[in-house]
Amino acid sequence: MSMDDATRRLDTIDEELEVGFDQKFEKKWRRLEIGSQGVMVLIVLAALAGLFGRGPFSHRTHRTSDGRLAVDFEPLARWGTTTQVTVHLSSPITSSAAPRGEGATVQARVFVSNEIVEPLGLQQVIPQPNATEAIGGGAVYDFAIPPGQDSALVRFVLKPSTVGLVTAEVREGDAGSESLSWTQMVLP
Amino acid sequence: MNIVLRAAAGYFILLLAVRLIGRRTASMMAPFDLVLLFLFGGITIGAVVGEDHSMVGAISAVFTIGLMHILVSSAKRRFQSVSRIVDGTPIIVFEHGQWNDERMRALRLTEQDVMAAARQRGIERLDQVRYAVAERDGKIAIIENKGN
Repeated sequence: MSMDDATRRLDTIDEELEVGFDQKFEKKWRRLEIGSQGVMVLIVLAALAGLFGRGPFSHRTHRTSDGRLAVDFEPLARWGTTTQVTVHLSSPITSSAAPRGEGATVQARVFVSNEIVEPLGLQQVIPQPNATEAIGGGAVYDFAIPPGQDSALVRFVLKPSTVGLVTAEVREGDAGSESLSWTQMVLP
Repeated sequence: MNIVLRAAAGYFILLLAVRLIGRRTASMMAPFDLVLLFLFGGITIGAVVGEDHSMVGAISAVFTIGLMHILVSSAKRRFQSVSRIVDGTPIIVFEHGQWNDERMRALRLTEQDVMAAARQRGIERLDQVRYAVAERDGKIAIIENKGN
């Protein structure tokens, strides 16, 4: 049966107006409309709260047991949109190349796993590292820390290029120190 | 995500949004309704093309949306259920000299909207109207009383 035939036989009003008005369907659709509008409100409220990123509840912080290293990130990031992962270093381990000393600038080393480049799409590291070294499974960044400063903050600006769950890892200094991992869900 | 998939998703999201906000807005009765529809399109463009400003990207997105539209139109013609979901059915809002308030409220229509449509047909009084129907495209069809 073609639709034209069906429409002709549908819901004639007072046996004179062939309008195709389907009251049953329209009532069902109205209920769906009201339900969908409720869902829209919930989505907007969730977005306002930052549950999809970029809001008051959008950040999480993971810390090592000794509290020397912390990583702050957005559990929900968005594809093609910048997100920031901030690494906090307390009493940074200095590199062997530049021992901590009176008046000397010291070097902090941060290892970050490869996921920060691909698929998380590393765009920028703030501050600019003095040196970067690619090692197995990731890269090590060396940062200069002014004398007397016992904490440092390193920010990685990312632009995810994939959709889905991504787990990355960060640790201070060379292999052997306690590492932290974080997981981000990249929304389409 | 591939630009083709994003364009297809954008098409369906817009289709759903326009359908859910109601046929009155979709018919662009008021200037702001028109602005709203352009705004929807503008917001979606960013998500579809992203940072891809190439001609290949634009062609891929335009062809995807064009083919999606052909597909949905064909499905509407073939399956009555798809047609109803995408466009709804005409809704009678005035019959036997009575307004159907529940349907008017659902459509966010006022008596003035219906009378404006009646005046465009040269009808001066409500008692000259036999039926008023909110059509699937959001326009209001007026059927005159026989003998007027």
